[in-house]
Amino acid sequence: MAEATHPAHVEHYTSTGIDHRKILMWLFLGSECLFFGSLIATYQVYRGQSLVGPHPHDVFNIPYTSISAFVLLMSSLTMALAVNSIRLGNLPATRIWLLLTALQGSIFVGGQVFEFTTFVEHGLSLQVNLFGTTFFVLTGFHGAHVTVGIIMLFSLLFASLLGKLTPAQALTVEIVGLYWHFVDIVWIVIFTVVYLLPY
Amino acid sequence: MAAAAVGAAGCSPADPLNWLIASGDAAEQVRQLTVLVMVLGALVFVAVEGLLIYALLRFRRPAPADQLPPQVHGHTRLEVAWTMVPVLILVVIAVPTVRTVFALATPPDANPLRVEVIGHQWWWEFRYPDIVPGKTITTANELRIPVGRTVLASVTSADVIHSFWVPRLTGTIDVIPGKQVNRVWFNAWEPGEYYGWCKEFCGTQHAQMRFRVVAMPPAEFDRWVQARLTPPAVPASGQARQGYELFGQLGCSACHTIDGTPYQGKVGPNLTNIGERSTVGAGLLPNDPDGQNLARWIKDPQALKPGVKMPTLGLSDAQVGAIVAYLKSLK
Amino acid sequence: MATVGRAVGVAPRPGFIEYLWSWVTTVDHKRIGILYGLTTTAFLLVGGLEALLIRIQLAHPESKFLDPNTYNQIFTMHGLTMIFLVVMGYNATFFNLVVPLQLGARDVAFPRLNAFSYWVFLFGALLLNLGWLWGQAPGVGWFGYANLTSVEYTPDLGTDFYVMGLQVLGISSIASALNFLVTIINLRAPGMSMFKMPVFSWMTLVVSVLVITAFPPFTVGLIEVMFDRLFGTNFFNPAAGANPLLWQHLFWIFGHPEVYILVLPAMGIVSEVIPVFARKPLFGYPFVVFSGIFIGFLGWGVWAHHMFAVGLGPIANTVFGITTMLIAVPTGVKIFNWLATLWGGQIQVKTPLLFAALGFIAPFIIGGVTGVMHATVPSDYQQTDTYFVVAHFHYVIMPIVAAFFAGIYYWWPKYTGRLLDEGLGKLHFWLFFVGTNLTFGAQVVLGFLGMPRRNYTYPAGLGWEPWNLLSSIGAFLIALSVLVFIVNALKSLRSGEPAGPDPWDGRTLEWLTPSPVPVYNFAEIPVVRYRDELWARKYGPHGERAAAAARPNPDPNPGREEVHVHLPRPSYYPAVAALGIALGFFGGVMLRPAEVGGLGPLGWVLVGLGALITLAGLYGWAFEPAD
Repeated sequence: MAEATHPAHVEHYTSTGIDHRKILMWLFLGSECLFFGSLIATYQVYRGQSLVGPHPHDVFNIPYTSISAFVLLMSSLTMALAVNSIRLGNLPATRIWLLLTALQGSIFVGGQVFEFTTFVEHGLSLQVNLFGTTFFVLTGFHGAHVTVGIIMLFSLLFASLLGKLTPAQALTVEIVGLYWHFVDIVWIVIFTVVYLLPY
Repeated sequence: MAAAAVGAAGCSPADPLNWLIASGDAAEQVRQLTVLVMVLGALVFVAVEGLLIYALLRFRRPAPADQLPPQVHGHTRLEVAWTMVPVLILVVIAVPTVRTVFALATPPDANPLRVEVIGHQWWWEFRYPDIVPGKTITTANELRIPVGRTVLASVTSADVIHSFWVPRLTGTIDVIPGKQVNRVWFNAWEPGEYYGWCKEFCGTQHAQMRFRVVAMPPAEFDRWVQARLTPPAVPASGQARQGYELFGQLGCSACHTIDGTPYQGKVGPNLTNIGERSTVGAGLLPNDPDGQNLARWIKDPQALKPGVKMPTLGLSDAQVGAIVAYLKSLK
Repeated sequence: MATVGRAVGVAPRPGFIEYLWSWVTTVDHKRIGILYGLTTTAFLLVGGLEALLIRIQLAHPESKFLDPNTYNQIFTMHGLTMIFLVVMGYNATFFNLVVPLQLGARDVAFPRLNAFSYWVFLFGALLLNLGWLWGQAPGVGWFGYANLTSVEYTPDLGTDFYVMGLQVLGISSIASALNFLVTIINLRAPGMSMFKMPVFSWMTLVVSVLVITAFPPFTVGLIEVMFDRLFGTNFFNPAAGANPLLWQHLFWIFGHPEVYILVLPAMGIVSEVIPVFARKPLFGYPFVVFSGIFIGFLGWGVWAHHMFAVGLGPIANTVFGITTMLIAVPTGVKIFNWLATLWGGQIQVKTPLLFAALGFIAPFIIGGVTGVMHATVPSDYQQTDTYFVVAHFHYVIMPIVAAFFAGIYYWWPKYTGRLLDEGLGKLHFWLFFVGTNLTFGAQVVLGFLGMPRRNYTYPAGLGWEPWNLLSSIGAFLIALSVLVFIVNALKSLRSGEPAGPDPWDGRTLEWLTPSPVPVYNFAEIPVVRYRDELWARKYGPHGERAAAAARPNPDPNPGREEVHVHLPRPSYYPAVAALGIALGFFGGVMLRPAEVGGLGPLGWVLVGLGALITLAGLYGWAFEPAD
């Protein structure tokens, strides 16, 4: 590679050819794997150890949770479509896909809130036993991450409505997409480990 | 009883926590392994430090403007060799290490003396469950064992994590609240008083949560057990009687148990044989024959062990004197 | 340049506020490095004072100098301060000052994230120490074992400051590590492949990976304690069936990689200094790099060696004992590489070399040997939680501090344009060397004599008195040595001998720039063809040019005309976001009830305010005009 002759372009120079921000998001997500991994490990350590109920089989409604998991899964599809649209320069389509992704995420979070209220009515709380403690903290942090994602999606949407989101910012949408897919994958793991594995 | 006490006091070893002096099989196995590693470590230390100092002295040189030292980048075979040598040394250490880990995890005796240890902030409860079928002895801060017999202690905590350690007899084992009950075995070769200490930081008075393990010849231990199975008599008259009554009236019984009396408090140490114990306040002060230290303790425990759970009740000297007389009679 | 006249006397000098503000808004890695350095040095004095108080209390048996509660807070804060504020602070200092220059870059990948990391560090450090104002600093030991940390056993605010302060500091460390990872991956000068990168930058890379992977389990543990304390959850509540050992696992899964996070940068510094002062290349660069990477990996497999006494069982203890012995190998091998670097060299006995060779390597050997003694599991049953382990870890941490001093003396001229005084430097070194060996050598003996750690006092008559006294005297010698250093630093800033760009005849790219370094670092980004690129330019890639070529011109712009380099604009949003985070977590502490000094539910106001300020800071940051 020829030496840099015009220093003004130096901030765009990269040793790998990949934008800094994309590498940053990948590394951050790696860190987040350990974060969620530790919370899931805590759940597993205390699985079946609660001295009193309610226990998972007392409160879980697998069909209901499957539907909300499916909604979140579909939101990854619309997210990918949003990234694709902006790369192709189709701004109206980008806005629609972004909106749909954010809405599906909101349905997921809303569905979780409703689900938790039913659990609470059954007597499950943060304090009542180990299951309540580990379950609500794990899924609560996941839900918080989804919410942050929704906020980012709406921010992109508003930026787009203000005319600030152009194909030049396609990378930004892609990076938000990486985050969103990660949050979805974490849910797949949580859903499997917490809800589906026999308890 | 008195002979045992004197004998025990006379046998208090100097350097009582020096664990490189072993007084039982468990500690001895650790000691041997430690000495091996120390010797190897010392050799490594001398060799490497020596090379370092030699290199620094030998190759101090001015830096002439026109001469560099040979710009050696490495030597793969040498580097592989000096990677392998430490591995070999570590293998020499690892083999006895693994052996000793398993030996210490397995009591060598099929019929050990079973005791239960319960750690409290900042004192030790000891129980001998089913020492005689159907009977359990409960005591505190002093664990009496027979010489030569393997003791298997099951340890747990009533509050936070503590650590049971008698350096001359055994390495430490943590004492954990909840379901996990840890186990440690040890024995003592000779009669004597062995110092024990809590080693895991457990709050304000962690520094003064100590105990004694008193090893006695087996016959004497059996006599002690028999004696303990019968609660001491309630004093009929005199200062001790006065103390007995004050013990209830002043609220001591809310925390302490004395077998054979209505006093069954479970918060603090069982005081049934406090008269014969060698220390007061969980290994804090010697339990002198005159009862001076016991009196100091009862009068103002907060001054001696600030933060201890036992309150300073503001008792008069007369009240303290009576209670001490009563407690000293409990043997 | 015109100056503006102001009223005489009372008003600040023209531009002083602007000058201060320029430090608040700076995004320049060199200034951020200096901020880290100053903050860290301040906390070095705080942590050092805490150490002296400990040693005064322990100089005599049954001393009444400190009551147990105060003592317990002081030893806890000493550990927290030295580990999280001082060692990690100096690590951040050196990463910032050195890495971009070594890579031939103008700055890190994310300058504002870098500033954010610093401000979060400062506020986190203050939050951790804020408990002193309530008379309750954390007093649970630096590793704060559950369930002592539950509200039932430590109801005071100290443990809350612990939980919140450390979470804030964790955010700082992770942000900084992410930044340096991207920088090292993506901003190396053209031609600098990974295996041409200097060892210090390599160690920064490994450490950064360790930080982003090891801190999350710790954060989760802290969150769990926080939830137990604030919301009554059961993570560490034995009454609900929980096992307090879960904390220990989460903590030490972080805690062991953490000690490699602490030591690897210091080893990187030693790997820079020794070749320069021996005037030959680092012996076995690939082995040194690979051993660093191997330590990074293997460091994940040893954590339960901090838990040998908790009752994991003989199989677990055996496995962890073996892996711990194994990790001694790459650690020890580096020592041989350094020895071989010195061997046959032209050793210049200057202060950086004294600190690197005798200050780091010599005591580190003792640290390593005592470490192997701890890996010998049954020995650990006796040694753990006594002064033996205290001596062990100080015999690896004091070398780290020595390596920092080596780095300070070595890189000082690069940033200040002046040298530190050699005479004072040697005095500093010898006082430090004698002091540390006295302090901690005595503690090795105390360990064998069975003195437990974390004891606010000890009884007379156990034979511990003379060793404790010696140890305390040693501590004061260390303090004296630090004083000498401060004198040296101030003297150098005022009237130190001017240093050129390359006072030590260095090997790496930072010595290519003028001293002090101009704001743009390099007028032209260098193209790299060799490891030790600067040395190759001076002496040829194999040292074939015995005499240095005319020093490559570090500054192709001697006429000081404007250099057309586009630099990132300063910004206050990182500081704003950092403030919001600190305020929010402080609000978390204040959620505790009024009886212990909190605000109860009013704490949510602070939490909410903090969140809003953080959000505002982040939005400003995201949407402020691109530079």
